[in-house]
Amino acid sequence: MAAGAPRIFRRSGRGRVMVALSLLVLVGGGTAGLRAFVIDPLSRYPILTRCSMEDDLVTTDLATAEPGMFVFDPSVTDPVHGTPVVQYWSESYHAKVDEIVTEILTSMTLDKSKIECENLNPDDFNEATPGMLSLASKLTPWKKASELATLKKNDVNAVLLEYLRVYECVLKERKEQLLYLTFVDKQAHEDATDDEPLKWWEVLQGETNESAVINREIGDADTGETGIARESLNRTLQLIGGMDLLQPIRVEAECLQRASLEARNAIGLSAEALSCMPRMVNAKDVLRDDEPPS
Amino acid sequence: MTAKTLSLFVGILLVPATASAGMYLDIRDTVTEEMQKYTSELQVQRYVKEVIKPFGSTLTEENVDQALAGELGGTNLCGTVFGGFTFCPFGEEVVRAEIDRVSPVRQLGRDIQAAIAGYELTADGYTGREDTSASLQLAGIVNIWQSGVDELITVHGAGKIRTGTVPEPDDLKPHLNALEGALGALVEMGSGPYDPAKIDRQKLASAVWRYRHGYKKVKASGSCNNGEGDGSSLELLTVRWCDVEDALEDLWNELPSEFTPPLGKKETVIFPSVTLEGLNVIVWMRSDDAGIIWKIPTEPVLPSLLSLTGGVIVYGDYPEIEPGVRLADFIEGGPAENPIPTAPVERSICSHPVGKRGYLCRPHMAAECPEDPPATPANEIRLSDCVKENTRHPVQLTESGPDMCQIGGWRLPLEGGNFSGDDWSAGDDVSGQCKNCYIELGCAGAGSNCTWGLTQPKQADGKIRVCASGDAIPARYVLMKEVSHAQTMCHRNVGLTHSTAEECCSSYWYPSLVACSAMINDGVLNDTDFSAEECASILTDKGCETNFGANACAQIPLKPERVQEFRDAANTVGQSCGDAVSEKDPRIVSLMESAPMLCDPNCKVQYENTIGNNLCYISQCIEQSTEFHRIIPGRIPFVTQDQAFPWDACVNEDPQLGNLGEIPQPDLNVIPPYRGQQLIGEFERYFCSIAGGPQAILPALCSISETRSVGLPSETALGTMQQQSETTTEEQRIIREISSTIGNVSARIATETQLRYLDSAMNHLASLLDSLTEILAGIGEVGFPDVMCPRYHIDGCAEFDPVVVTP
Repeated sequence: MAAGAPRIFRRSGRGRVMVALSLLVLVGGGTAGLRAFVIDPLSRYPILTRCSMEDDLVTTDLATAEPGMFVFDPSVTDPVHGTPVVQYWSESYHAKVDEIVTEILTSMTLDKSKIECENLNPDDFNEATPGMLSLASKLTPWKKASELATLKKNDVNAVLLEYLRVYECVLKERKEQLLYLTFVDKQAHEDATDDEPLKWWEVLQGETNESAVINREIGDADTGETGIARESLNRTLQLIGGMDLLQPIRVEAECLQRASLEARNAIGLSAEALSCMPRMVNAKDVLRDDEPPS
Repeated sequence: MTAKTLSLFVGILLVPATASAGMYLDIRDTVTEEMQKYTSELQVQRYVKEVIKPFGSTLTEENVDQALAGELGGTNLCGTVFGGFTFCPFGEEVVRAEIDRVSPVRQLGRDIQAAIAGYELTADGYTGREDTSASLQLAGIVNIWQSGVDELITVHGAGKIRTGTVPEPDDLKPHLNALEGALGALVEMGSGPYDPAKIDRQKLASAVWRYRHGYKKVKASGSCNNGEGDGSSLELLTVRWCDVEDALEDLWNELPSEFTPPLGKKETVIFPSVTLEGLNVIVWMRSDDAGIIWKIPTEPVLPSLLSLTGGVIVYGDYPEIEPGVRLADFIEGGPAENPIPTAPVERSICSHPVGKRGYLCRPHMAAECPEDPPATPANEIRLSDCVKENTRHPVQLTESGPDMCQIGGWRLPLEGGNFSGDDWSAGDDVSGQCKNCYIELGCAGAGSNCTWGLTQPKQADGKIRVCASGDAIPARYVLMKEVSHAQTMCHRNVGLTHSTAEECCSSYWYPSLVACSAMINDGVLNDTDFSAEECASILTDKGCETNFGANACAQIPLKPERVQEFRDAANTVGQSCGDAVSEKDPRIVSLMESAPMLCDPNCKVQYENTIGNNLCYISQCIEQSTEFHRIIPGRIPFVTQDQAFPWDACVNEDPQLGNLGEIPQPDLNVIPPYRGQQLIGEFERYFCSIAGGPQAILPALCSISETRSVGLPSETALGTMQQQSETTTEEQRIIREISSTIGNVSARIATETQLRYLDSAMNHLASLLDSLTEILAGIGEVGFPDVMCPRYHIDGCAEFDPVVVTP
């Protein structure tokens, strides 16, 4: 370099350009995976299980029961004189669904501090919520740890629909075997407590009590509990089902915004540098040396 | 349906939202009431009480639910009014039948609400959705990228968006509390022995929908009727709630009104929104308005069953209140009513600074459209149409390519100018380094060549005279167009005019677009269907008509009556040409500010720091350098002769030579049409197929034939008989299954439609970013010598070798 010759470009400026460019490349290349966010549950969860009360979600131990499970603890509940069992189950089911839906809605607010644009992985923002994982671990399709590990937030529809199916099956089976189950449950209650021995009419009374609840509240798919549960879930899933569809775009928009700021700085710097560069039209301007270098 | 109509439809159906504890339980309670097994909605309960008067008696609200639960038999009513226990089932059936008439409509309304909200919640553009939507983020990105030129030729009229804070948030609390109180007072609780208590949110829904676009537009419409509607079934859409309005106004008055830097034209400040969790409502605040939206949009405005003043609204063949006796006083609802006029989109969804950038709020013009698009079927909803531009050669090319940002408007006014005490418009500085021309505004009489505007050739002293008359369209817009056009002439030789129609048309296209965008943004063309592009095609053609004849620029000849319609519509702004010259529109000043040269040590320039403006500066610098001098060593320069320098031979090979950047065509991204009627038709045909009927049969007439069974045939005669007897039940079952399936199928169709659009849109964005990356990377790879070209060249070429820069 000739002595005294002015520098016309800052090397550090070029480095910033490259940072911006690398981010833009990342953003440009990262937009192709949108369709991957649409889940085909049939292709991922082909497991069909029987419709029965024989399910991990049904338990007789209140002490170890988790929220969302269908509990009948004979040491606590009197199936004849107490609140009908199915009423407990209904409250448990709806509370659990509400908890998961609330979790999903809360997670819609994007935590931008977690976005690492240089190492962007859309799945980082599609993690299943704790409530979802807890429930799914008791549902047949996700009992295997390997299956549970693949569960994403966008699978919430599949999880809740499977939970609904189990709930419907539990109600259906109890309805079909109500007289027998009332007898068994009452017997268990007696064994677990100091209640008077079972009388045959009490079985009928219990069956009648619960049957009234089942017929009035559980009823059929048109108007009863099963219908209400399904319609409520359908409407809820319609609401939340599409909400996260645009989340990959939101994540990438954040990266694009960051990259844009970098690009603006870099291009601003380029413009600054360019203002000092000689114009061809001013070939003999004051910036040129007027004497031969010594 | 037009985009405008649709936007209203969507606006009515959509409500706001965020995370809300218990949203599912709220939905469950609503569904329970809708399915009316043993309880009904409060509104339905009150309505049934009014329309069913058994034997002249009056039901109580509680009786309605008792009838649903089959418990009417235990009431005094059953014994005394229904004529004894025997008739109780009849009375209960009457109640159920009436509820059956009205409840499904409400259920359907909420289902549609949920379906729409699910897809549009994160993309509806309402103010207040910053936490859940990418819209504001995208608007921010636009702010970073957009040049002043883009703003001038963009029709959305959105202006810039700035996020602001309230210095003393505590000052807002009393007003927020008042608002919460006013909204809470609109929630009604049932008085019956319900568990849980019944909640009626129809007035709250009315208020939230009413003020979703802000309170100011509502307040400006006249005196407040304070909850007194017109008695129609649609009154909840138009009724006003004065306490809510007052609280919003007080809240807005508390917001900062002065900003640093001062707000630009149409610039908006968005303040952090506040969520009223208990009401599922978000309060949004802007520098120009304040309003409320739903947090989670679960409750639409449904047709009223009872008017706000207590009148009974009936639909169709309403029931007898007792055998042979109908209601004496009722309000007829449904189709008999006059529809509510459609609100202009610029006052509704397009009034939100983010929303107005969306596809519903601006036309979709493209240089190329798919050929022979299919005709729009009846009742198809098209959200966006591709309309081909009607001007030839819209891009102006000079010797070294397009004239970047030459239409001006990207610079900010410079206090004091480039030279102390210099009035640049006086023309005394043309010999200076910062000026190749100056623009003089003038007026001429009607019927002159200035009717549609005229730019005279550059004179020897650098003056370019532009003129308007104001008798075709308002003079300020004509001047805007001509000032912008004059700048494209600024760096040309003295006396040069457009030599070809192509040159003229391309020279006028963007200046015309500047004027037309300004007209639309100013609301001059509000009551017309003229788009900025159609307006610009007229102005462009008129600008070249004098020299090149009519329709010189139009691909499809302009219709005289359409041009006249445009003149009539535009010429409503009362301002003389003289006033337009003496009181210059700020946009004209900004345009004129872009005339001086830049990139010279003596020339100052000031612009907002955006990528677009920086690129304007860079590209104009390069153009000024290359177009005013020679770029090929030893060859004749374009503009002026100059001496050859001894170091010309040291010029290195241009690494970008022949490396043409490919810019993707971004404007073929058309939103897929929505054919709801066709989808329903396909479902009905499917139903006909199940029933064994031909597809051509009218679907409504399809039913399961008693001669066939959908299920497998039975092996026994008894089973066959049983199947026959259950045919009707089977039909109901299939209808129910289709009904429960149709929502899921629709969701898949909607998702697929959305993906079709997003795939295409995101691919375009990705392609654009790829191209940008390539161009910027190319710039980054240019090697620069570390030394200036010396006057005395004595050391050979080695010192000019590019510096290898390590990032």
